[in-house]
Amino acid sequence: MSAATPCVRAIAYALPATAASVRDLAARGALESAPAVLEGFGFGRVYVAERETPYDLALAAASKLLREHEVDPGSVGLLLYGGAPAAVAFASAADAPAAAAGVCTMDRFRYPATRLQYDLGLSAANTLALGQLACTTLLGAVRLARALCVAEGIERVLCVASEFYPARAGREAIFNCTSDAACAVLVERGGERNRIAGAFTVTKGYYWDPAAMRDEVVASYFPTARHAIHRTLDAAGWRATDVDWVIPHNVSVRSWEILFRLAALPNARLWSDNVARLGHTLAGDNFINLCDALACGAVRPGEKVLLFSYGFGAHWTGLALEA
Amino acid sequence: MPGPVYLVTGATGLLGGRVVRRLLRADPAARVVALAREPARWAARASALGLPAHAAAPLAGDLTRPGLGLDAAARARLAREVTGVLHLAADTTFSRPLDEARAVNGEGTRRLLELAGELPAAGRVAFVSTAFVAGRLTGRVPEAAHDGAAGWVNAYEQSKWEAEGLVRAWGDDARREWVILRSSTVVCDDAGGGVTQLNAVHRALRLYHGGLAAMMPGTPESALDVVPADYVADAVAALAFRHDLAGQTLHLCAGDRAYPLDALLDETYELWARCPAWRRKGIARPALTDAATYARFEGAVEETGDARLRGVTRSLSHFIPQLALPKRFDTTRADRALGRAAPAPREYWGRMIGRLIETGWRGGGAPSGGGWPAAGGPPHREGSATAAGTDTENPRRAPGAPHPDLHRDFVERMLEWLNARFAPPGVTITSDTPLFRSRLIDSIRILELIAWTERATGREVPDAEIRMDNFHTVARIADAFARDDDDAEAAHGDAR
Repeated sequence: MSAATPCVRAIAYALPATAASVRDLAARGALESAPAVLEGFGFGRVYVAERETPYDLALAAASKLLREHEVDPGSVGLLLYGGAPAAVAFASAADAPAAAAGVCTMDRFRYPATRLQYDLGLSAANTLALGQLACTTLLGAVRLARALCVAEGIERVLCVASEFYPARAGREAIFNCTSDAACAVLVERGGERNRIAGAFTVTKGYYWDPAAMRDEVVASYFPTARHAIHRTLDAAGWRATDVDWVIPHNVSVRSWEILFRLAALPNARLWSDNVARLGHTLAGDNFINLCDALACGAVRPGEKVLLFSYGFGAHWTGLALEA
Repeated sequence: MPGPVYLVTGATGLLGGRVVRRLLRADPAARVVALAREPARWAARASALGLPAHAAAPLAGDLTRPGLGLDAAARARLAREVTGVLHLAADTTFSRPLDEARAVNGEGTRRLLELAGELPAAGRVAFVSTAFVAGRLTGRVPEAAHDGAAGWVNAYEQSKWEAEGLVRAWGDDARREWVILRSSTVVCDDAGGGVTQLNAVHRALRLYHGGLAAMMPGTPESALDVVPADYVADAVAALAFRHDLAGQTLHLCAGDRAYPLDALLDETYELWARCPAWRRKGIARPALTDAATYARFEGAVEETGDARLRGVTRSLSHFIPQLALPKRFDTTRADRALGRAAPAPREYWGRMIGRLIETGWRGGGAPSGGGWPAAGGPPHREGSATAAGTDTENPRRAPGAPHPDLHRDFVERMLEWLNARFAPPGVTITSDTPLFRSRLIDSIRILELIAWTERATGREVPDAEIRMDNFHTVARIADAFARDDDDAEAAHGDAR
C-alpha cells in the first residue's frame, strides 16, 4: 500500500436517549419472534428514537467526530450521506408517516445531506447521498469514498449514515432486533491506522423483495456471505490465516457462529460484544463496533481486520482494514 | 421337472417389478408368487410389464399383519410350491419414527422368516437391504455384518440393520441359506437418467435448485454413492439364488466410483446454470461444511421456531447428514459375482438432472425426446431409457394428486403472502376468494403470483398451465400446483 492509501481516520456514533429491552419490545408488539428466541440469538436491548429525528442523530454523530478528532470542517472535500430517506429525515418516529407525505410537495427537496454540510460548516464539501443499500450503506459509502480519494484526489470524505424505524414499524428484521442510530466515518488519504486494504460487494437483485422471499434470503445468506468474505480477502491480498479480527454487523450471534465456521478464518476472533448492548443498527454496525473495539484496545495497531455486512436488497459487502 | 417358484415381497415397487421380470426372463420355467397387499395392483403392474399371469400370480398378504394375513390354505400351498424367498419389501421413508419403520422392516421381516421356516423346499431367503445400514460408520465399509455401534442417521437405516440381524440369526437357527444384497440409493431408472420415483435425493436437489437450502454437510472425502434401478434389478435377479453366495453379504453400490461431492455439485450447478432464467437469479452453490457447522445451522433454524424454515432443514435432516460421514462401500464381492461394477454416477448424473428439470421435478421414466438440455447438454449415450425398453418397464406416472399437508401448507402460505401484499384495508383474502373477479389480481400481478407459486413449489409453471381457471382462487392454485410427487415412496411393505 502506498502512502496515499485511504484509511479510516475517525469514527463516531450517536444513539437515541431511550433504550428498550427485547421483552419491552415484545410487550409493545414490536417483535415477530418470541423474545426468548431473540435473547437466545444474543439480543438484549436496543435503542429507540422517540424524540430524536434521523437528522438529529446524524448531526450528533458527525459533530462528535469532528470535535473529538479535531478535524477542520473546511478540510472535508465530500460528504457522503446515507440512511433514512429525505422525506422522513427531519421527523421524529411518531411524525414519520405524516412526513412521508411531504414527498408530494416542495418538502421533497429538503435534503439532510446539504443541511449537514451547512450545519457542520463543511464549506469545501460537495454532497452525495446513497440509498437502497440497507445495512451495507456505510460500508458502501466508505467504498465509494476510498474510490473517490484515489480517483479524484479528495483528501477527506465524511461518510454519515442515520437510520431509524417509524413508531409503528416493528423492531425485528428476520430474527434480528434493530436499534436506531447514526454513525460517521472519516475516510482520509494517507494515514497510519486503519488503512483500507480491500473491498468487495456482491449484489443479487433476485432477492430484491425480502418479505416475499424470506426463505430464499435466509438460504442465500450463508454461501454468498462466505463468498464475499473470501473475495474481500482476495481483494486485500490476504490469506484466510492472516485475519486477526472479524468485526461483524450485529445480527444473531448464532448466525455469526455459523458463518465464522463456514468462512474458515483460523486465527480470527469475532468482536460481538455489541450485539447484546446495541442490537442491530442499520446505520453502521461494523463501524460502531470497530470504534468500540479500537477504544477498548481489543483491536491493536497493525492487526488485520475484516468487516462484513449484509443488506436487504440484496447486498453482501466486505471491507479489509489494517488497524 | 418343474421350475423354481419364488415368493417375492415388494414386487409392486420400483425395483420389485424389474426383478420379477428378470427372474422370469432368466428362467422361463420359473414362477413368482407376489405377496401384495393389493393383488389388483400387482396384476396391473404385471400386465404393464408384459408378464404372463400364470407365471406371476399375486397372493394377498400384508407384512404388518400377524401371519402375513395368510390363511392356512395359502400357507399350505406355499409350503408345497415355494423353492426360494426374495424379500424386497421395505418402508423406505427416511423420516419415519423408529417404531413405525420397524413395523414393516423389522416385524415384517420376522413374520416372513417365520413363514419361510414353514416352507420345506425354500432353500434360500434372499434379503434386499440397504448399504446405509452402515449408518454413521466412516471409511471403507466391508461386505459384512457390523456391530451398529456407530449409530444411524435415520430409522430406516437402523430398522434395516436390525432386519439383517434377524435374517442371519434365522439362518443360523434354522440351518437355512440366506444372502443379503445391500443396495445403494437408487436415483434413476437406468443410465438414461429417467426418474420414475422421486426420493430423498431428488427432494434435496429440488430445494437446492430453488435456492432454499443454505449449505450442505460434507468433507473433501465425501462422495455420493448412488445407483440406477436397472443395475440393482439385474444384480438382485442374478445373485439372489446363486448357491455359491450362501451366507454372504454383497454391496450393490457404486463403491469406489461414487461421485465426489465437490465434483457432483460442480456438474449439477453448471447444468442448472445453462438455463438463463435460473442463472439470472444468482442462486449460490451451497456452502460445503462440516457436520458440526451444519448441525449448528439446523439448531439455529429450530430455535427460530419458524415452520417454513424448519420444513426445509427437517426434510433434509433424515438423509443429508450422511454426506458428512465419508465412506466407501467395498464392492469386491458383488463385482466379482456379477462380473461387472455398477455404473459410475458421473456417467449418468447429468442426464438425471436434465430429466428432473425437463419433467418439472415430477419424475417420469421415459425421456420426451430431446427436450433437455436446450443447449449443449450431456449427450445421451449408452443405455438410453428408450433403448433399454423402459417404455414398458417405467409406465409414466400420472401427475401426483394433491397431498393434504402440502396443499394446506401451500394455501396458508399463499394467503399470508397475498393478504400482506395485495389485500386492501379491511379485506381478507380467503382460499375461495375469486382473485380476478374481485380485481385483487390483474395482468401485472399475475406475474408475481406465478413467480411466487414457482418459488413455493420449486417447479416452473409451464406456459400451458398459465390459464385463468388455474389461478381463479387460492384453492384452485393449490389444486393445480401444490402436488407431492413422492406418494409412491412410502409403500408400507409393498414397494421398494
